[in-house]
Amino acid sequence: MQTLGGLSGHALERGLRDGRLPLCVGPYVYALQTDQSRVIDGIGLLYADFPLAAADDFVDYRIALRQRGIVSRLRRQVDFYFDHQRPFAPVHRDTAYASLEWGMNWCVSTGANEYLKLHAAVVARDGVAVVMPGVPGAGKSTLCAALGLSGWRVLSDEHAMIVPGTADVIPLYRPVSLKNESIQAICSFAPDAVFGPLSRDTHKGTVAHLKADLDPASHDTRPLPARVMLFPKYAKGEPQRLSARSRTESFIVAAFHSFNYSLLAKTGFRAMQALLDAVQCYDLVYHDLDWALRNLDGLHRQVGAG
Amino acid sequence: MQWYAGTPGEFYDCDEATVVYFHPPSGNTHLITAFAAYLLRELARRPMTLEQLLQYAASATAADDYRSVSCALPGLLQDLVQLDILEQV
Repeated sequence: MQTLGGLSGHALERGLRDGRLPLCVGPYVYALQTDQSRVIDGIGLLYADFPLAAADDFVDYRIALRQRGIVSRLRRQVDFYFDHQRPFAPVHRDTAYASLEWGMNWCVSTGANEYLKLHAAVVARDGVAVVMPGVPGAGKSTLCAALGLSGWRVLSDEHAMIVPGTADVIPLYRPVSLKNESIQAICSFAPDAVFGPLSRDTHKGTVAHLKADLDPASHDTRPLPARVMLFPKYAKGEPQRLSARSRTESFIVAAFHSFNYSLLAKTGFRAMQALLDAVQCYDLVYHDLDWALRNLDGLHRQVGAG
Repeated sequence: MQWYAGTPGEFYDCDEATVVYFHPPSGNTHLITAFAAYLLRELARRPMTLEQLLQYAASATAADDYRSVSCALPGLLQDLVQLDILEQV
């Protein structure tokens, strides 16, 4: 299957300006359109290994980032469009790349209700997935990035999509979103890490996206079984620990971190039940990435052996 | 006065101190104690008075525990009523 990186620079730019580059992202097809050169550069860099869909494939999410009218141009603002609607206020064009990524997340967060969706990073090794729910700032993306740069496969930095009635996670790889101090932490951890455009002064501070599809199977869409649910917490002032936690309390916290648990009602309850039945639950409090990775490697060996 | 859990909800019970309870009419999910889950299961079958519930508690708990359970029962019932998962009939 052809990847976006297989296109010439000219074909990439023309395809993105015309909105005729259907991109396979997990089980979905996005059609992206933009006239912003920073965004085109970011997509060219971070999505180089993503497969392209056939021209006549069904497009799930049709989105665009472009300037609208003279006022928008004078203010250097860009609008995000989803199916020709503008669900958000315009943003400064220097932060347009972050808006594209957030908009792509939003599409899945507000749709895709065929799955139980948790706000969680998902990583895997040897076919065993670890689901890491967390509120923004908990340190899940930093940990996810470090794992992705250390031989783990990143299934998602944002959405754990669970097939109801199973513990199967649908891979939905996209670049890992890092904020503020996390960007420097990952630069120090892996000086060769590849980042997309830096978006400063967003409502989340400075944001950058990391290319983390380093595993050969990164764009494989087959589901993987979850065996661990891990609740990471980055805390500088606390002792580091990896400790087992209650399944029922984990259920409630995971439901809190779900985009659609309440919407799915009884189906959501049963889907969460099937997931929790299949996973071991842990808290991970960390401030040292190397320590966290060593402990997760050990946990992976233990779960794999079990 | 009797208490009654009109709709049998769904429980996620894995032998821990707490149980997850899904209440279909409201769509709400609650983390409740194992004893509260036991009460809800019994009260979904038929309404019971406080005296009947105390008898049930006596049969389900050890003598040492019964004292604390019987003290806590009225408050627990009120809590479940406030959560709209139990009704007084």
